[in-house]
Amino acid sequence: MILEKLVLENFRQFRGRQEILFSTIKDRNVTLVHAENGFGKTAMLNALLWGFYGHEGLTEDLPKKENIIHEGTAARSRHATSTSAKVTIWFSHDHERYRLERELTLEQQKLDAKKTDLTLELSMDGMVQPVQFAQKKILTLMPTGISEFLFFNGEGIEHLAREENSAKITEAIRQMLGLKLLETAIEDLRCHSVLGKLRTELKERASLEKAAKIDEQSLVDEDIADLNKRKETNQKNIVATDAELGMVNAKLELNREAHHLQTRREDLEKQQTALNDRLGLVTKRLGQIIAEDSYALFADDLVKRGREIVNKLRSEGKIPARVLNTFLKELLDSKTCICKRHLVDGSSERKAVEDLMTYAGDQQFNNAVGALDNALGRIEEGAEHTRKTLQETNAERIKIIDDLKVVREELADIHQKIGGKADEEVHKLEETREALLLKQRELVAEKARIELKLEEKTKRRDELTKEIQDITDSEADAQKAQRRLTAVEDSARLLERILEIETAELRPVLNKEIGEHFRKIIGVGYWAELSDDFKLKIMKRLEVSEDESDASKSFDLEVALSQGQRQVTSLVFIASMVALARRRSEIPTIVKGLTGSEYPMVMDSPFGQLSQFRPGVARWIPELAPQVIIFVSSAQFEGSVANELKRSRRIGKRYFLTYHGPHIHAEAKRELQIGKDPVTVYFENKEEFTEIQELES
Amino acid sequence: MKAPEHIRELIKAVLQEERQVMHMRTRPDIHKNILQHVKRLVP
Repeated sequence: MILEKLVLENFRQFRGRQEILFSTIKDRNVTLVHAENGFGKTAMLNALLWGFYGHEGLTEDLPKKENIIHEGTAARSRHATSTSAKVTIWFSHDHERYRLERELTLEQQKLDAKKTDLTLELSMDGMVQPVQFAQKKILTLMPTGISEFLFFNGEGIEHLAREENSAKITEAIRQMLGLKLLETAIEDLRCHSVLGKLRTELKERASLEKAAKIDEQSLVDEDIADLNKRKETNQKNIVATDAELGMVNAKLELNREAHHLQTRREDLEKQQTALNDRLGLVTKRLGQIIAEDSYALFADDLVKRGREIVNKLRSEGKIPARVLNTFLKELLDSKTCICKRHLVDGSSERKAVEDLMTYAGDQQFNNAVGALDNALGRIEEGAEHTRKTLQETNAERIKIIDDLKVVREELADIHQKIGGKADEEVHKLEETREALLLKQRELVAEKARIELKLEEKTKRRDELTKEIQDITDSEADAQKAQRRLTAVEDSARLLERILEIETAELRPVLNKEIGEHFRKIIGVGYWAELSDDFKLKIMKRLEVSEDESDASKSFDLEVALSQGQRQVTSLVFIASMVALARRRSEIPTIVKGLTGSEYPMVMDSPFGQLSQFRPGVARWIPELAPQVIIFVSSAQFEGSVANELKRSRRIGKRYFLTYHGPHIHAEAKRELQIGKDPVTVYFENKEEFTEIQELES
Repeated sequence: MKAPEHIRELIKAVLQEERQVMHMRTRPDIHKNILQHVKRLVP
């Protein structure tokens, strides 16, 4: 979707008809709207959202949501049916051009402002065609699940990088990249109205034995659905508990009494996590060594016995053999000895040579003993190496366990110290924290139990499917019902497999995308990554020196982010997703071409908390998104943002909002230095209204 | 991944059906339509 034009008529503080054309030029894809605080930036963002989604689209921070029509105009109106607020948006999507118009009359606003009139028209080859079910069509073009990623208040966007919002991120990724479609298809195929119905049809026509199995399978399916619901609730509870715990930790950190200890505790907890991770890796490595190489340690007796045999053969002169059996056999075959005597059958000469065959070795025997000797040597060497590696790895494991013990003791000590503080607030916070930790542990244990049960039930369901298919039906109707049921089950299973592969293929692509952009904006030292379950994490590498040597080891840590870093992370994530959605059809995955489109990024005050990251965001976001619309105050624009945007020559259109009203926001300027000459943006007036002015470049 | 022809056809039909309604909050006919596709493609 590319936005082309927006016309506002009496929408909120925009009195009369006001219009803005958005830049649609690829190399100059930024439309900049300068507006001081209180002049109408948020109202303009909301005009777009109201246009697309109506009342439900309005942002949470918009006050008096029921008052859509310009207040002065509404107050002066004598005809409630002919006074209205209207938003018209021209946009293109996948090479089709649309015109959307949403209107609310004063009469309707008084009755119920949520009910609006919406029309959507599609222009094709100069012909205009009304679109049926306009709202549904808009939701198809741009679902609400992704709209909050495309139209947002920059200062409020940082919440996306918080742990508790990972579900939203997962949802947006799945929706924007087409995975949601597969998930829904699987759910629908397996639902009661499809699979359940086919099962009932089969049950009615099948044998008693088969009917009983179908009944059991329905019960197992119910159990699976129930477990999935429990899993979902459990996950939500885990996320909520983590968020609550985060808040308690933050409060303790802010408290003067507990600040020092809490900061230390957070450090220790990070160390504990890293040590636990390392312990897991080392234990795994240890297991691997034992599984693959430890046989050498238990082969001491065998090696000793082997050596004795080889030494005995050597001492008896049997190896290496002085005369080879093959040579003697040749003499016997030719019936002539080396001394030219005839070796006639039954002669004493022939018998003497035949007797020698008993003692002589052959080349194969020589080789076998040689190989045995060599193998014995290698086993001995291997045993030594394995013993050494095991000792070292075990020492490393013991060291980690010791370090963990020290960390845990200090953590317990901190808990006692904070809990024992005289300050009542600190004491209560510590109690709450402990209770939350307990709850967190219980929830994690419950999660493991649910997953285990789910695994068992899913296995049983698959077994039953096979058992049901294996019972042959005698009647044609039953056979047909079975074929249909099998087809639906097979399709659902195949789609599950496709979803699995698709997810696995897309994650590294998105990860690479995010990682690259994050590095450009934030700089070196940190990187962003999406976990297996699509959680957005910012990582850094920690180098730790070993005690007795200069060698250092490194491991990766998840970083606790500042508000500014969270804002950048969220922006980078959105831009990466928009960039990927733009070239989604080029990514060679199975469901290629199913979805993917261009989406704009409309940002209200995106530079607020960014501090040193402002130039990076101003430079890179317009490179990633096909269209960027920025509402910005002079305080956020002047300096690095202005320089970067001017330098990149990305600005295609520039506007400023003039505000007419009795008062002006304390930080707002009356005059802006944004063009060649200063422009006046505030006019004192009894009635409040805002106008859009284009800035000549 | 080589699935039988009727399974591939069924998946294609279901995905097309889903794509048309993928962002709607209520999808009253989707299950009925999927069943019809099953009956059409698996006679």
